[in-house]
Amino acid sequence: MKGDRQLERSAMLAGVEMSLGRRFEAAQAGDAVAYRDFLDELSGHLRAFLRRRLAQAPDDVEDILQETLLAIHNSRHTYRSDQPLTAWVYAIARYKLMDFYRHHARRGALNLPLEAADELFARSDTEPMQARHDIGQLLEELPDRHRLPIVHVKLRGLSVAETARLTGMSESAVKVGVHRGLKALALKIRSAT
Amino acid sequence: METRDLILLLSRRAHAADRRYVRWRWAAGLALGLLASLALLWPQMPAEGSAVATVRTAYWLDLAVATALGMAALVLAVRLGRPAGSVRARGLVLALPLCGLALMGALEWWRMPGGLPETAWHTFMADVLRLYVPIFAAAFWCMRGQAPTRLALAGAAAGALAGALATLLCTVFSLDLAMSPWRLWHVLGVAVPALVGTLLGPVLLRW
Repeated sequence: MKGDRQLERSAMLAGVEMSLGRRFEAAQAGDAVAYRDFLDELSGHLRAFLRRRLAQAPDDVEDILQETLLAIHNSRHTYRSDQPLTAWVYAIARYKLMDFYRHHARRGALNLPLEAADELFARSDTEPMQARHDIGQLLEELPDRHRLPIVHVKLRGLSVAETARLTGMSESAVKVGVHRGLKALALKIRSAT
Repeated sequence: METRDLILLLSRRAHAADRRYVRWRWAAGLALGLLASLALLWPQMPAEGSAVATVRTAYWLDLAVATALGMAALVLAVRLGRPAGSVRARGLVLALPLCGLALMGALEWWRMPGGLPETAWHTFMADVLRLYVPIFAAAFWCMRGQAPTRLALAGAAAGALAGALATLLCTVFSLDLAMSPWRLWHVLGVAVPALVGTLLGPVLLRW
């Protein structure tokens, strides 16, 4: 019955909200493992959702997924803990997907409902596909002040202080470099997609 | 790079996003915009004891209304700078007083003897641009620091905010840009930038 299915979906969404919310909160407090788990869980749901919505363009799924993950990372400052995390994620995913459609669809526009977080989190797909665009290559195209902090802090796992010493940049320059570098990377991906 | 690698890249050295940055960006951006407008309009400031400053006896009422509209517009704009979330309630808080003002303004205009005052249109337009452009640019810059997912609405809100702040500026300094009736202009001063914002939003706010 429709009512039962609705109830089931709400319960499922509440469960996802709790699990994701817990991990996100821990991630905001500095727990890297929790953040990794958060992004892993999220990408499973996003991948399944994108595969369904992009049935005619399966090669683009992984690229849009990566672009969405980067967008979520770069706009963490816009999440307020008094709103549902699932709705916030869905809004960003919907925005990126519709953006892609606007630029690539030959026939008509995609009409995604404004609030359909339960559709996004109903399924999960953890089998990655081959991404068309190589983020590693795009990273190489960034200027040194962005690329070096990201390479040392994010890829090699050094601390900010160690990176500062290694590169000769100040600590605040390293922090700003990571922050701005990831934004620049997001822009590069967007123009590459 | 595989998605798994990207996730590792993003999760290394996880830390909270700087919430203060959000507030700082809005405050600093709008303050700079207002200062720029003020600087451009400085030659127009009414001298002490001039007739213009005393022509509107309801100064404090107008100031209260302008401040309220400014705050309502700010709350709406900040909300639309974030993904998701309903804006219906906040939208009404802004829209209803504006409609009330529009009605009052229309009544005033209808009852005004002699219609609109004679003004050189190019002077008027120059003044309008000097007032609105810096604040409009500032509001959009602030919005760009956020993550709006409804671009047309976000643009409209940024435009409305710019309009509300511009009219607040005029109210505070009793700037009469030769446009009466005051209340009708107040409404147009918010509605027109909002419309411009709706059109420019999808172009300027993409991220």
